[in-house]
Amino acid sequence: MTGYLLRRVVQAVFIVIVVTMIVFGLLQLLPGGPAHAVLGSRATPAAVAAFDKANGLDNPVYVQYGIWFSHLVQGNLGYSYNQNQSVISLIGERLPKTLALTITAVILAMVVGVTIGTVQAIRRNRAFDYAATSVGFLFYSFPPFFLALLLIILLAVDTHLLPAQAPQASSVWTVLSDPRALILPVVTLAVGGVAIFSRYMRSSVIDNLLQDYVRTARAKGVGSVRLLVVHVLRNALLPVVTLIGLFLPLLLSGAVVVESVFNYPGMGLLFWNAATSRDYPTELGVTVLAGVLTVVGSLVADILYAVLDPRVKYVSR
Amino acid sequence: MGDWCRRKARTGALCVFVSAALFAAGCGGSSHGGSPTTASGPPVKGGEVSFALPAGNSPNMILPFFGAAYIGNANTMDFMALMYRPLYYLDGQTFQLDEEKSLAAPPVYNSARTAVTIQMKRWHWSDGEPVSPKDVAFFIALAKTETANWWAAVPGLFPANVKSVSYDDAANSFTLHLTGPVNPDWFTYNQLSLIQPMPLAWDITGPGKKANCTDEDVAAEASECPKVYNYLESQAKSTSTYATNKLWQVVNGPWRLKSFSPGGTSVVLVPNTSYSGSDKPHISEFQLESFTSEQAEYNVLRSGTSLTVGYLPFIDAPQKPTNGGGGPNPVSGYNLEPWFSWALNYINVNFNNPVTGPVEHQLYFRQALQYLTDQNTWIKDAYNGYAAPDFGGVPNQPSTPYLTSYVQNAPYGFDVAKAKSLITSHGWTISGSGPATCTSPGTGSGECGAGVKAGTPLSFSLTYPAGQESVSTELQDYQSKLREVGIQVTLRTLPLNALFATALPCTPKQSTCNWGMVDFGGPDSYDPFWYPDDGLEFSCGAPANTSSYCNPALDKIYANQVYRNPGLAALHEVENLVTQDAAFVFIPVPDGQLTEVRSNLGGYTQSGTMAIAPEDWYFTSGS
Repeated sequence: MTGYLLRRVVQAVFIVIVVTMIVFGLLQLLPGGPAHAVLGSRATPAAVAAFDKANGLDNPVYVQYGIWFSHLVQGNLGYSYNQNQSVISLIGERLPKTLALTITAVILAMVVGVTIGTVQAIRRNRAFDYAATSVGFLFYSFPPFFLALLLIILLAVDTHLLPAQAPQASSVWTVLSDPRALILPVVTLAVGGVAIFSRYMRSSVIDNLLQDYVRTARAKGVGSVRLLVVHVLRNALLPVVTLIGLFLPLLLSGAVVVESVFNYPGMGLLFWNAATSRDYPTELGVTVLAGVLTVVGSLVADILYAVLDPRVKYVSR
Repeated sequence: MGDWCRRKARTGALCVFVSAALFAAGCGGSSHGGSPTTASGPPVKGGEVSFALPAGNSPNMILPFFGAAYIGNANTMDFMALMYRPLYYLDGQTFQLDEEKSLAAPPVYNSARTAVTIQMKRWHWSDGEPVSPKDVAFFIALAKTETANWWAAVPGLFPANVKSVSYDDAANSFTLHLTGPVNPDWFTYNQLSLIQPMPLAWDITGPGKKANCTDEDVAAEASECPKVYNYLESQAKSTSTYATNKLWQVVNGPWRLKSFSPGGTSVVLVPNTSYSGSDKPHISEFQLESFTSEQAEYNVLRSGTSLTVGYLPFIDAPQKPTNGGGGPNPVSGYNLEPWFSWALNYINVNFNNPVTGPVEHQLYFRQALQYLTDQNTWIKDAYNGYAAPDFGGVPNQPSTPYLTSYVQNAPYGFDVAKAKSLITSHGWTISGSGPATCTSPGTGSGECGAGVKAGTPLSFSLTYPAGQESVSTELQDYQSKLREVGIQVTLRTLPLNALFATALPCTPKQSTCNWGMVDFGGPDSYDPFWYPDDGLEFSCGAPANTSSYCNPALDKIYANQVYRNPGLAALHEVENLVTQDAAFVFIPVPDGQLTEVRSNLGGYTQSGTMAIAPEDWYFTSGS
């Protein structure tokens, strides 16, 4: 297991480095440079030259990459002129807020989705199953932007039951301490996940209910509740758990729409705005983070799979 | 002189304040900026005002001496100017010097127009120090030594056009000795408007390390000012300490900073109790709120929560009644007040594009482009009535002494027949739905013109910022009008910053010179270059001349008359020449913002400069 982990970590580092090289290279292909994007189209050549020199943009691309990478190794992701802040501090501000929102949404989606999916499987091909399937497809196909607006109009504009924007505090604890303001953005984010988790869970529980071990357990007199909770759910959760691992990178980018509609500046918007404003340091910083999260998510999924399923062993060959 | 800052109304604003800015005496002073709101009930002291910033904008710079990267209303008009007053402040209603808010009396020029004396008022900074000529000397010294870090630095202009400065600290005045005679209006509105006195408390290179960056000691400034600037800039980069750093608490404006949340998403200012001006704040707290999108702001506004001053997205605006004023307001409890900005709006054509440039050099072609701007329809359909027509080098509204009757009368007003006639009478053949082609090349009468080869199609690209519905509607209609006369235009979109980085002045040999026409999606504000000569945009090789338009006759007028001779004759000549030459495709100027003001907020006015003055606002009883 340790050897496997080490190999995966080395692979992960390599992948992240390759990702940064590709992104760095792609950014160079964009027409126009960051100087004009930051200084405006009317910047004088002297101002552009000064900007390029100050930011090392007058060096060859490979030199720029080398400088950037050496800074990265030291934990310095660069400086965003658009935001007048270091990229690391920008991420430090935004990441916890996005994680607070998206993790809450994923937990909600998982709890509700797993519950609904399990009940569907137990009562498959009955009224509840059909209804939940229909609603699940509806939720899955709902564009988050539309759903967010619908919820805002119904619950904030028309009835004033809930705030129209997410908590505006800058610290995670203060954000979490305003649950009323979190309801709409979390629900908007969670709805699609509920549909996904419930579909996965339904089919997984149905698969397990048809397994020999279930029949054996029943024959041995195990009660229905115990059978479901102790035996079936543990096995049925396997695909859902791996799904969570793969969800990690999506936590960063998936909230763009919700962040935009609910006035909640997080990682998604940070990357979107950086991309549209040619904020290279921020783009690269967020890309590195997303790359790390992707490989870590994949690794976590694999490890969890092994932990939950004793049949899976990672051995050196 | 036009600006080089682009703004899409207030949203996505990229303009500057330094605002000083004055307008020539005798300006029309129309009420386009809006008169104060008429909240009923007597004013009450105190209360908190929350003010919605344009979507995607939040302050990120506090030092009022900054590079072009930090130009934007959120930094300047809405933030710095409330704490740090410029030397001269423009009244955005009358377009004249606001003597109450300015730090000095109107400038006095000598008869030769080679020197100007400025008498400062006896105001004080919040640390008790007087606002004096020394503060101006500090600013001028920085402007001279840190040109690369000052957004307004233009070779040959301020402070390079100042030969020397004599400071009379006892009399609280200073005199600028100029390198030659100047047009007083131009110099006041476009050069003095840049001066931003800075407190001596900032003349340090570290905590307690006093420096000597002042133009009163020319020998020391070269060595001292860079160190001072580096220190101030380093402090200004620490946005998390804006509210706690003692440097930034030294203010001369009516407000001081109380809190500054990370990323500037929420900024709270409170009254400066030491403010010397008579326009002391009535409200107890002023909060700037940033929004991730217009939709988010509008949702908050409609949910009836905290916003005192917000805005209505253009896409949600009701049709404006033809009798003026705002239309029916979809938000209850608020007054809808369109915010007009005094600005130009135009499409740039790339004169140096190696393929399409020869056609764009033809006057008849540019005239046709202008004839096809159906401005009344666009104002009605694309902007729901919240825009004003623009036919030439000076905005048509409001009526100012700068505006000539020639421009006012729209020499190339919408006329498809005339446009078609211009095209067909110059050697172009329109066939079917495709682009017209040049069938009579040559330079003679009735021929396509110099450099245009036989078979050349009238085919161009027109790029504009993505996500701007009104602009998109406008340009789609323009595209169909152009098609009627055989001009085929392909519309493309790019993110605004990408457009800035792409549509640059260029030479035909540069590979990046392949853009055809560009609409930056919003008007060009004059701020803070309020004398509307547009020299930074229209003169040959000017830094803001995106089109690479070049008319030597125009340059002569600029150099010999506009900047030197008093009076408006030269300015009128420039304006008429640019308009007659159809140098740019002038299009309607949309309102800067459709403001929603809570109905119990009094004293609220909207400045044509886009500046805000929360010190004048108050709640009425019952709020």
